[in-house]
Amino acid sequence: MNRETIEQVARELGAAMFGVGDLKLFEGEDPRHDPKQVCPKAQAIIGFGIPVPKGLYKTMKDESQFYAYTTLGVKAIDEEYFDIFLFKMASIIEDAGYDACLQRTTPNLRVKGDKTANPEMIGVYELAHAEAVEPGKPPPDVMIDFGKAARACGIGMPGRYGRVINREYGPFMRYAFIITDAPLETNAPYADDLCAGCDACVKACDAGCIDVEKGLDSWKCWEHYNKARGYSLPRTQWGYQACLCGRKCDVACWEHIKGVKL
Amino acid sequence: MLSAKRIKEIAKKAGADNCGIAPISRMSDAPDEMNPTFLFPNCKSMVGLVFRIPRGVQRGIEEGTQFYQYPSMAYGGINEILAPATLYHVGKAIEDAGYEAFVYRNTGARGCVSDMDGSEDAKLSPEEQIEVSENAKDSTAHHRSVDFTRATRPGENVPPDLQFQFRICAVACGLGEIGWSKMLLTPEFGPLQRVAFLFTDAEFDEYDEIYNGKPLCRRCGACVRECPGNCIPEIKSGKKCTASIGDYKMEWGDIDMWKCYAFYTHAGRYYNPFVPKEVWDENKDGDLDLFAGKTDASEQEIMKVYRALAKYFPSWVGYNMAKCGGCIRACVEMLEKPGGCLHGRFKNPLRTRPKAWKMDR
Repeated sequence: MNRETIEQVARELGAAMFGVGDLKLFEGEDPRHDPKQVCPKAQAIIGFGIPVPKGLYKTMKDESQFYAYTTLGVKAIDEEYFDIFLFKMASIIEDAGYDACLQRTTPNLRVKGDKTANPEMIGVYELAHAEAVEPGKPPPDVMIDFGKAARACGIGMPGRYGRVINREYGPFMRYAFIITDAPLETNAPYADDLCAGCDACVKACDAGCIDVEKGLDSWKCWEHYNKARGYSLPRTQWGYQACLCGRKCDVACWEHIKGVKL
Repeated sequence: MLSAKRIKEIAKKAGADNCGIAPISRMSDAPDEMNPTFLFPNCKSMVGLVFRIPRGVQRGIEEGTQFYQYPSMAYGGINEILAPATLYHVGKAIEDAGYEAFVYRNTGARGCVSDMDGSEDAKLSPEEQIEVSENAKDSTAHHRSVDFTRATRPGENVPPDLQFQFRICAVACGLGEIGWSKMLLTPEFGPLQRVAFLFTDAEFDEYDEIYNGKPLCRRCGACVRECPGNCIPEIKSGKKCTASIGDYKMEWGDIDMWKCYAFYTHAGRYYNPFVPKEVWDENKDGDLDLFAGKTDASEQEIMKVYRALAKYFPSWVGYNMAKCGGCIRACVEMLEKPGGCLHGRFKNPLRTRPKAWKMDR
């Protein structure tokens, strides 16, 4: 097993973006988000990107369909597609004798002290209490920063409003990662600055949830996300809420990066 | 007649890590309320699928730094996503060949008989949250929703949905053996897997033998020693359960399942970093007596614990975070030592320190 064989399988399973990040890039990271705290012998983090179909954004832009985006474009990819994907990837890594610490999104859980909301979720739980199990360790749960991980893997960068973006797919992509002790050739970190000189997302948001300097006000976004049209769609049983703002921030970002209208 | 080799290839391609096939007659000694034949009377064969739990999702628990990914991925993800998707593909192949494929995933103990203690109610599964919110006042919102199930076929006294013993069925399919801790052990993955099954009226050209290799459980007692709740009896205690498949005998420790439930979900003062020490110290209204050994474990005591600690990980967030992880990690650690079935499987062992962590409280 090497980087090429992992990438080949990942591509066959549907990953449109693939990269391997050097964990040295996380030195100095807040331990609560440091991949090494999950797997101290890890050397690399593998990043995978699965595209969100553009049609889900197009139907929101055309105001013809709002329900499907979080159902299919977020939940189905993060919690279903990536589940199967990550297990299959883990099999390859484990069969070569290495650990595969799977990291998919934890959409409704926040480390203690993280007061942010997740607009896509009906509710988010900030751990009421968390303490280190012994000296020298961070309090659980360690949650990796997907933006920093994507940058380390060379597959994207955290955009101004918190979304991970890249030149190929803009913000129309979901991500998952595997922390591993396998020695793998790593990518150079993502070098593009796609936000430079651009405030398209700031201007696109009807509710003014994004500030050029401060980024996204997640609670304001949460309030707007499912109520932007003056009504709400029924809550899903699985905890996600429909997007009624149409994710105009994402659409504006994509159109800026791609240079065409959706 | 179907080709066993062909079905196994399909299963592995779809996502299973291993597959075993047995004639359903191997389950003929099972009690009616746990006999899969009552699910599908015309069944002739059962197909058992193994889905590995990546050791990496235990890594964060071993380090004491990340608990969420195990229940999220390796419980919910396998049982609800990977296993059903794989069962679908295998079932489709069997039905395309003209036979029926009755697929059965882990349902979190919703059978007509409790898999905790064999009683006719009180159906709980340690990994799943008990609903103690306002919704719980409406019993239909509670996941223990099959208390009123009744037999439907004339002449039978087995109500739907019966839940068969997954681990015994896995043994019957030749996939492994049951260890002292009651966990299914396989030569490939030790205790790290989940299983799912498919029952069919097809017969196969060949069936797997029951595992008869070197014993996987060496009765080392690591699971007994490292269970934070002392839920697993000493091997020499004689407290054990037995079952048989024909001449093949199985035995495992007679685990205090309700206590296991309590410690799996809330772990106690030394193993739960999400509940402050002061809460354990105060033990308000004696709700946490169970953890202090002051009372026996029972469903009623479990409900007290859930209510007392609900704010520290509410049921709506997801599956219970596996804070104890004692028996699984202890078993892996021992099986990775020389002579164990996992020896040499990984470059680095799961445990890189003399003993598992324990909070200084």
